[in-house]
Amino acid sequence: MKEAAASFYQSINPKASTDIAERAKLSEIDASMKWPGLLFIVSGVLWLMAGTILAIIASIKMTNPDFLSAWEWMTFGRVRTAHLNAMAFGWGSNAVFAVGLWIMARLCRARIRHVGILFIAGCFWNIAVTVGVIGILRGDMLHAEWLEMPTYITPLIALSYGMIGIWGIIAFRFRQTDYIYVSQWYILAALFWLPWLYTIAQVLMFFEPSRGTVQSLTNWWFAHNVLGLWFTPIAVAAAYYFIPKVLGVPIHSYYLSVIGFWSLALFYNWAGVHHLIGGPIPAWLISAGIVASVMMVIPVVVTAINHHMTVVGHFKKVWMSPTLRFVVFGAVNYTLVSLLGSAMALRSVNEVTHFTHFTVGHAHHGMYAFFTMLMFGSIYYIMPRLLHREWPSATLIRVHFWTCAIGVLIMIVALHVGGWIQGLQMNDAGNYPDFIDIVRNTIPWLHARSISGFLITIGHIAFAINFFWMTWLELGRRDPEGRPTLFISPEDAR
Amino acid sequence: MEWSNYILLGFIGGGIFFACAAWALHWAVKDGQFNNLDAASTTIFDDEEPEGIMTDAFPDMKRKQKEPPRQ
Repeated sequence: MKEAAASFYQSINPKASTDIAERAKLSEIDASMKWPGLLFIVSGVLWLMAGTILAIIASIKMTNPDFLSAWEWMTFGRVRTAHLNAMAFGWGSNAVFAVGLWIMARLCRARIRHVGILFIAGCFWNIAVTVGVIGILRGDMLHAEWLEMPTYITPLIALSYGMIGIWGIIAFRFRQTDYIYVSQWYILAALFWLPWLYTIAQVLMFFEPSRGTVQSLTNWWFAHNVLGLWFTPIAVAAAYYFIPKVLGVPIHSYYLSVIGFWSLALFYNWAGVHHLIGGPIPAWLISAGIVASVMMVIPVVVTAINHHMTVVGHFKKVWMSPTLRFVVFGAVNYTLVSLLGSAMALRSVNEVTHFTHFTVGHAHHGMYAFFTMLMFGSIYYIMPRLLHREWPSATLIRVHFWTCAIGVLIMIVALHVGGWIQGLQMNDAGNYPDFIDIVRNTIPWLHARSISGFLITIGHIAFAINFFWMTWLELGRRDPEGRPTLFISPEDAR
Repeated sequence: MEWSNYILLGFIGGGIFFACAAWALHWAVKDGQFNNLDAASTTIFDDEEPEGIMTDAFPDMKRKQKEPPRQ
């Protein structure tokens, strides 16, 4: 027993380990991530489909409140919240685990250790999220935005996350490279940031509840940071990895990427307070949040320069690559959504946008047009390397890209324009004394949102068909030489 | 708890967080991570996937590009 414990300790500690000198081949790393990577991506795609159905139902209810209203578990409040949690903790976090750990292992040139534990932890994570989403639908949901899953699931979420995230940190400790690439900085930091955010928020919101408005502060500190310090770093890390990797050229300026990482680490943590502009909390706290939100222009601009300048001169290659289409679309939207977010934090702008569909549009701009599109691109690159098999249908990839890109752009424009008009009308009590008139005026924009949702659903169905076709039906074309690089061989690319 | 206690706890927690970030930055400088930024930017390439090689493309688009231009 003692020997087993000692040997396990050696296997996770580079100082005690005897097998650390080997620089793992990329194919070995891909092989080590095969089963856990598949588990996370398969689960993620299933959650994506479930979240999409919930989203469509919630969207239709905005214009047709009687739709499926006979069941209490299908009421708007529950369905919309189940959609958010299914997408954030089901789709988003599973994608983060797969993409983050795979990139980390590749850049460290160290395989992921104890994949069996990682796999089991992944199963527990998905069981926890399933119980949490069902809990929301059956009426156990909590009052805090982005933390609605019932507290009986919190320990399992925390434990399974710990057993997943730790393998990324251990891979980093076993790294066999001289320099740390900027993507590793982002992923490593995110692996530490999420448990910090989740633990503090859970304690201050539910286990040792703070009083009054401190709860609101904690809520928005968590909700905004889970976007900026969990989903954003992994997506930015993916862009920093895949843009130069697919193009075969180094990033435009590594110096700027370093500034981008450290300025994000410094400023983002403060920004969430801008959700409480006008709220009953000390004005200096709100001002600090606004300052931090505007300071976020620094990491966003340097990251934008880096991503976009790397692509300049290679636009044809972007259209030739399934991965880069999605990744560059996501990177462009990172720039746009972040600059818009900084502007929305200004008091004069926030007066109009707060409590309107503008904010909903902004959330989808960030979580979908930026984060989700980047994860799609990453999965298009990773899957052939995990399975040694090409994607079965290039047409389905194109359908996926165009329907999702056009769909989300329609949604963003509709909710931003509709939300802005809604905000102006709400501030104009003289001309709009009846609130219901303002609500009615939003209906055309909400119809546009539902149409965009249907387009996105078509894209997700195309993606799911291609994905499960590739994964389980084994109809994809096998690469005869079993190389990890598919769709195109290195010789063809010269 | 009173507001002042939350602020105090916030500063302590934030202080620990900031100290960790400062330590990470100090470690990175001491470890030479910022000595040669050009070398760091090329760590994603190696013998297996070298610089100058495009590693992902639709097969049909690649074929189109390879066709000789029409006279």
